[in-house]
Amino acid sequence: MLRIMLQKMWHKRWMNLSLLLGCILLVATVVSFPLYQKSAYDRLLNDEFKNHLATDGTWPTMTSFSITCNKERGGSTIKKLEEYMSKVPSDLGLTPKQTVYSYNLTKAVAHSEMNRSDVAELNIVLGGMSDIENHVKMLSGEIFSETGIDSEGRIEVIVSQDCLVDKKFLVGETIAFDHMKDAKGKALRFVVKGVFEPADNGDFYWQPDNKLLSTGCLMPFETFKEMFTGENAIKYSISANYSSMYEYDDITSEKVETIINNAEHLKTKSKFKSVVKIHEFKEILENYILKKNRISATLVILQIPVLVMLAAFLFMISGQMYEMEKNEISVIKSRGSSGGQIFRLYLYQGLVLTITGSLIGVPLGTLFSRILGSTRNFLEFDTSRSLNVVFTDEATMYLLIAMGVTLMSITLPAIKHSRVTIVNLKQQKALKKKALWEKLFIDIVLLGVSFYGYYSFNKNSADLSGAVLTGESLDPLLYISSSVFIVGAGLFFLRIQPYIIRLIYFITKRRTSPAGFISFQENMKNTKKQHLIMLFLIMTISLGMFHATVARTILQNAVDNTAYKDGADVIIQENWPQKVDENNRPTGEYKEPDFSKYATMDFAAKYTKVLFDDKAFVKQGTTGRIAITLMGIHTKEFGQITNVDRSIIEKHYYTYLNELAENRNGILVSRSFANIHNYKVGDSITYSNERGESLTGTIVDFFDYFPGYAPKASGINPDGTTYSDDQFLIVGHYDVMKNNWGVRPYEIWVKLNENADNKDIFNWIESHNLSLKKYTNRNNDIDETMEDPLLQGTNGVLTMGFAVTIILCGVGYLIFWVMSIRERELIFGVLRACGFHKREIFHLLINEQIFSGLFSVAAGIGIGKLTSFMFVPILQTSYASKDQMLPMKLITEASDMYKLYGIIGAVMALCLVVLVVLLFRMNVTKALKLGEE
Amino acid sequence: MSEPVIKTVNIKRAYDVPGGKFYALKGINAVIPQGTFAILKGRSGSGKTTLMNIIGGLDNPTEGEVYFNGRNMSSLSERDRENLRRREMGFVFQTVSLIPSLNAFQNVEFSIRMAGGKINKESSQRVEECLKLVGLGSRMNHMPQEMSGGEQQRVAIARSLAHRPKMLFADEPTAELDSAMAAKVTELFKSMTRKEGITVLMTTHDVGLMGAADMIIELENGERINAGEEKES
Repeated sequence: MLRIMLQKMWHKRWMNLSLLLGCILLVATVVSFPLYQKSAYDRLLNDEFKNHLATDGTWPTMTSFSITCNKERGGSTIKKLEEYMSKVPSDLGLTPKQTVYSYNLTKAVAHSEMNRSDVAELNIVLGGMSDIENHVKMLSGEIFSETGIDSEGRIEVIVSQDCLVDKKFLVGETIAFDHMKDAKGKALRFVVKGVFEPADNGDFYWQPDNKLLSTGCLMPFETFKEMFTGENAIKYSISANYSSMYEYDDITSEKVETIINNAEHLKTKSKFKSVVKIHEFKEILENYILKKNRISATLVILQIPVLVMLAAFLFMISGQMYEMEKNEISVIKSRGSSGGQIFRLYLYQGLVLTITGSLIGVPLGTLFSRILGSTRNFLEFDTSRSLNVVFTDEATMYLLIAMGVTLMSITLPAIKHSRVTIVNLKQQKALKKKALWEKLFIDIVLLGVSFYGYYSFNKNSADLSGAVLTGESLDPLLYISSSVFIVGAGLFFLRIQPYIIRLIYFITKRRTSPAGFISFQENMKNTKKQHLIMLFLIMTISLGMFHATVARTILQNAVDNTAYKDGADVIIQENWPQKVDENNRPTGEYKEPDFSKYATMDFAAKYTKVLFDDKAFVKQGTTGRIAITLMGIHTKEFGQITNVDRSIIEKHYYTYLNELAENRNGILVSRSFANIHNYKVGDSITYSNERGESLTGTIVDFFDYFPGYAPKASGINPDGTTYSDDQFLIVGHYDVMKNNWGVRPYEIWVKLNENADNKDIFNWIESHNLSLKKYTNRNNDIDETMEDPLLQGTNGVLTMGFAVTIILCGVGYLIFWVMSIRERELIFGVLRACGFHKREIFHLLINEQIFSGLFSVAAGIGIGKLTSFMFVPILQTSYASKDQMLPMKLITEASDMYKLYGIIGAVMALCLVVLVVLLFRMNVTKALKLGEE
Repeated sequence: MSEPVIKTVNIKRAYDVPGGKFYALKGINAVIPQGTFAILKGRSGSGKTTLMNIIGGLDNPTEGEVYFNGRNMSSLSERDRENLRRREMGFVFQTVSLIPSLNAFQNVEFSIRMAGGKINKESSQRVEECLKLVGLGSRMNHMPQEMSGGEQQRVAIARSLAHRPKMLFADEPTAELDSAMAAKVTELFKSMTRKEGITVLMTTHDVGLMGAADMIIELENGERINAGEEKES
């Protein structure tokens, strides 16, 4: 049996290679998704931690517990707590990188024994921190001895410089507590042995209990425990803090849920719940989960069409295989083989292909996920940022599912075919039915469904952007609508295709050659068997185009939006020192920093002063105010530095600036003034700056967009609903404002040189020791936008989907082409025998491929364009950030299309080569013999 | 008897086999006059299909000459031979050889198209005439899949006649038919020679059909064993 199978496989090796390719691609794609997701989530989580660290300055992954125990129970509670706390990390499922325990007695009054005049009463915090010896550097004096008690029975302590200055201690000074006594009833005394500072400034050891750093008199930790919490301890009320810091690199995405659950348990179920402090840690994790859910839902939805295509490919090829082996199966069957034997034959074949496919597919999938992780833009990779890929349980599960589907696609049809004997086969062949979908009008139904989706989404696009604000993920229906549309339109094309051919035939009838005649007839009557490949072609091309457009559009719009929002390449505003009066009190007037230094910005091609006041207003009636943003510009310089895309504004950008330049009292105002407050060109507006000083300007024009201007501000109300408010902007002359209001803090808007480097900017800022109130850098912001995990993931999945579809499309088409030639070798032999020239057979096949192949390609392109046109705008809404300002623009990159066409062209050329080879090898007498077997 | 349509001179056909050459035909001489119903007889492997392929221009002899209507076939280009085949010859094969996407009428009409004939009323009449001749006048619009093997074979015969070829080759046309149908088809060929003046060369190993032949060429192991039974002209 095994031998038969191997023979069979060898005989149809091209078929089997294609099946294997399908298996490999399916496994690789399926496996790469969870792998990619896992590593993308890890990176996302890591970024969250790093972000927290960078913005907040505190260690992001820390659990801490603080408690103050009263005098009586202090010691015993501490014992229990310490035991309990030591188990917390393992309860959370983490190993701490650093654990800090710190204890201190609550403030106690004491006096220096030196009877100093300048210090009367001291409030002392006596404490101990675990492992403090390794975290301090002595500045003066020395560290306490091991026991911490000197020969005179004094406790040895060290203090920070802050504490020393605050308490006015001297090193070597002895302090006695007023009310605290030792076991013998003598007053408790301590000596200041030394002054320390943290050994390392970035040491997070001091973060959990940093009050001890500034105020604590610190004795050895063990001595403290022995004296105040031990068996015969002196009873005082004690504050305790237990902190564990975890290496955030160790916290991988799959641990997050467990940690959150455990943390929740600690906070609500534990007997020490009131003392648990894991707020920030948990918040970071929860925030991450929110982001992750949105991304994962989106990625899953994006993957579905590709996976469906892959499965369809496998079923298509195996269908072709069964089609070819139909005769053999029925012959074997008629000779007495049982259905079970036939099934087993295919089962073995399926197993061989599936297992081989997985062996190659899994490493390939790992590679895929790395490539996915390094996608920077659609079809662009940046290998420097590849992901760390680890094989997970989830990936194993995906792998098993993929293997199952592969196996099924190869073996399941055997059940149907193993029942067919040669007699049924002949009967079957005789039957020619319309395809089921054609009879049931599935195409029309699908189109109807997708149109319904299209219209309802279009109608509710406001809801959609609201959903984005509240952080919801992509609506699956939205994406499915587009896929359904592609399938529906593809099927509809198949329905009308015979009529198109009929029409062409009708027009060219008179001139049709014998070869043309056959191909017309073939395609008019016999398209059913070609439906699958044609649909496949249509779907791959239109999905490819759609995906390319989605990816490009989403990313480009996000980038454009960021670029617009920033207004200029770089905006700098220094902190202006306030002028002071003779009594050293601030006057509210600002001192202008040296402006000449801006001339030394080598990275700048151009720069200008801009007065930017976002707390300005326009009085309305007697009490009303419209909050506005006010900009004062130098029109010429401003125009050289900024720009607005011509397609989104009515007139050329410079026209607006020129209009303003011509009128010294003129102002350009946002369209919202016209729409909401019915202002007209020529009207005057009196506007006031932050300080209430006003000016009156004449409206010279209304604009829809202006560098940095957001026409609407949207957000979420406390009750969860979303709002979208119109924004107002008035743009006037800088000089006019300066002459009336004096020099006010201005921003410097900069246009960068072509080759300007961020490093140059930083160096310049450093070298001038600038204190900045505002700094925006468009390139940085664009990079940040592009780094967004959702955009990245979308790009990655779409890029891979695109690549996979292209491969499938090429392979599928080639197989179909070869099959359709081999299937008809006998007929070609007959035709050749009857005197048909090779050229004519060539012509006939080319015609056929034009009718099925090129027509499908053309339909695919058309449907792809239509789908993009209809659905990309809706899809984009769901990706738009909450500060989306610009109208959506559909972006298609010609190069993507060229890649797609190029590959299709290459496949078709390859098909031609195959055709020529097959034709030349075709021997008429042999071909005829074929039929005699 | 009139002019010979086919004349072969010492045809040999050798195939390369391991260790030398195998001669499928070892010098065949035959002359088939116009209007003859000739049967090429022999067991399988006797070389009859090879001979027929060579006479029909589908294969080239290793040695010897074939004259079709006085023209030396080996002096013709591939292209000319193909044109000869599509205009002046008709073929019927053992297996079903209809074009699946064409109906009976179109299949028959196709040979007229191939021969370069005009498609018009006249051609349609000819197609109908041929189909009626083979007894399928009422099934002209049926697709090949809707017909039995015998019916399909008769359509194939009609097709081989429609463009009025000089010579008709039929390679085991009755192999897949029952004996009643085989007799009918054979009789049909014979009647063609009478009605249309066509020359027919049919291979068969069915001895029961020999009675219809005007002339029998019998092969055994690549040699003609009844040479000289026909008159040389």
